[in-house]
Amino acid sequence: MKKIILLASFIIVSLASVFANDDYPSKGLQWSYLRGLEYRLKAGFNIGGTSPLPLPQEIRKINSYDPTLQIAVEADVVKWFDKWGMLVGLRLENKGMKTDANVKNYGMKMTSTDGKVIEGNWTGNVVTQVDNSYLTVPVLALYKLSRRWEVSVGAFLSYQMKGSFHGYVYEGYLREGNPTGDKVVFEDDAQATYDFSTELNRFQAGPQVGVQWKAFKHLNICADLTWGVIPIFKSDFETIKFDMYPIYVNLGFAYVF
Amino acid sequence: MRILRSLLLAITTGILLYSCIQEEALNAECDIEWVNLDDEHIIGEPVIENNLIIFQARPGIDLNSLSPEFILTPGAKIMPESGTTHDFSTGMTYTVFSEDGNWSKEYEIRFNLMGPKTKYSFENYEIKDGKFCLFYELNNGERQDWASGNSAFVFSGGGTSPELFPTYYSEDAKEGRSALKLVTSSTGAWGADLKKPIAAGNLFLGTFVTTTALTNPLRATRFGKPFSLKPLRFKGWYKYKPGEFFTDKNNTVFYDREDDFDIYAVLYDTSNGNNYLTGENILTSPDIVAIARVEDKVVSDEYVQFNIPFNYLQNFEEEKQNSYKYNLTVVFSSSKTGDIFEGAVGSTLIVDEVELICEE
Repeated sequence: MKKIILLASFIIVSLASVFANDDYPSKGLQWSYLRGLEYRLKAGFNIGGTSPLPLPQEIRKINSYDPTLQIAVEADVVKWFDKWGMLVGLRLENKGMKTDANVKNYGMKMTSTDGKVIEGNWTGNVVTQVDNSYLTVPVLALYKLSRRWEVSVGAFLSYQMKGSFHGYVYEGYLREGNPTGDKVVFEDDAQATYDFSTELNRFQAGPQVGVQWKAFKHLNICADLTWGVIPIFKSDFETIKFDMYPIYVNLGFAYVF
Repeated sequence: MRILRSLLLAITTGILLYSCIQEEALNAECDIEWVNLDDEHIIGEPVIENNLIIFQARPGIDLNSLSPEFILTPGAKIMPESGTTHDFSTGMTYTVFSEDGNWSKEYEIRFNLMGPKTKYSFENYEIKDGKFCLFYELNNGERQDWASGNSAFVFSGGGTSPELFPTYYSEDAKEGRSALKLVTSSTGAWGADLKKPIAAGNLFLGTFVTTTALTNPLRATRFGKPFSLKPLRFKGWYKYKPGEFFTDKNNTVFYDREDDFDIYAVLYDTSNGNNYLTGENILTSPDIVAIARVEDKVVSDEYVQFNIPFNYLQNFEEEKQNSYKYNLTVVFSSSKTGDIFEGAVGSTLIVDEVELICEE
């Protein structure tokens, strides 16, 4: 999946560099221009978190956070009505991150790679790695603030093509069942892994707001916030006792034809 | 542009505020972490388990009036209160309440006055908390539990019913209704991750410390209970069948190795300050006084008898005997090198009618 996105972004960059020298748009583009239509190709990075909001009381400290390499490529069609515009696009993107958090009395059910299950309360460190691939359709209203600045507001709908949510616990202790259960300590390199990838929701949606700055005639620099409002896990998944949402900022550039 | 900048600032600030670390919750745990009981009859340290505290005591202790003091999880409360005087002669239970008020746990306080029994028929067991088999002995109405690693096997996730634990009973008894059955078991993917791919079935006189079982398994087995007799011979009956594939801690198969069981009894001296021996030194400590280990082993579907003498490495001193300085352990394991996680899954040792012949 990552490879496809990398390849697509490479194609966009190459196209952009080819078209950037072209001051004479094709007949097709001229036709579109006269009807207020505009085409854009975007590429960028997603930086953010798949996180409970607000952070639950169980989380005591974020030991480390790594946005990891999460790429997005997008093709958009814009219809302009003077200062206002309407955008529909198609985006291939990854949303993910890696965190290491210190938790206290964190209720969890760990499932091993061979299907064994332990339920209990963990006090110690939890490493979580998320790496989800989505096919996303953004629908946005655009407004030109000035010649160079443009803002957008709208919504996105995503279909998750591939999802991965896994990690491990280390340096801490587990109380089996509940806080009064038998206690076992994990120290040194002892760790227990978990994998909830199969429990992820297929669909995701939420508001999207953004801003674009026209750096060159054909090149916009853009920043978009996508705020997922559907919990990432299926509703019958109760192991993690709080809902988590993907909240990401996409930073990138758009080639405007 | 100013509008835009303030909008972005507002969004960022909003996210940051919203995702702040909240105030720490009150403690949900309710453990007795330590207990102090000032009485000259107490031998060694108390054993503190998750719901049970055991004191070894010399006969002569006045159980009618004792005032134990407790150290609890921070913020927890105990009823009856720490330091108050109570009658322990008919058993006594304390309840600990967590700081957050959501959890409580009962602790039974038990005094063991008799030495360990000298004959073990494995007729008494219970399924502890509905999870696994726990063997115990009754000695003039006093209950003494056998220790095993079953409580740690819970954390492999493989113990979904009692018969799947490495230490269980068998109805294939030499005498009576039941015998001890030990089966070397796989600890699954988690166990393999921890370089502990197997769990040998084991049973011993002593205490198993679940808390450190993953990080320091050799020290999790604390062998021995006070023993006031001089053991001379160690005898009993067993059946053994090794498992098919012998593996090491990395789960590598060794086709040229066959699994082997272990049965032994060790008498040791605690006067040098060691209240117990562990998996690290139970067969090597200079405190060992006498040892009896089954060396002549037979693989058989029929019961095989062992009857071996204690080999004394030090003089047995009556003075130490009378002041309860000697501890004894009896150990059974379905894989001899199970302590270093080498053995064959499926190795099965059945034991019954074990006896220590002691000097009159």
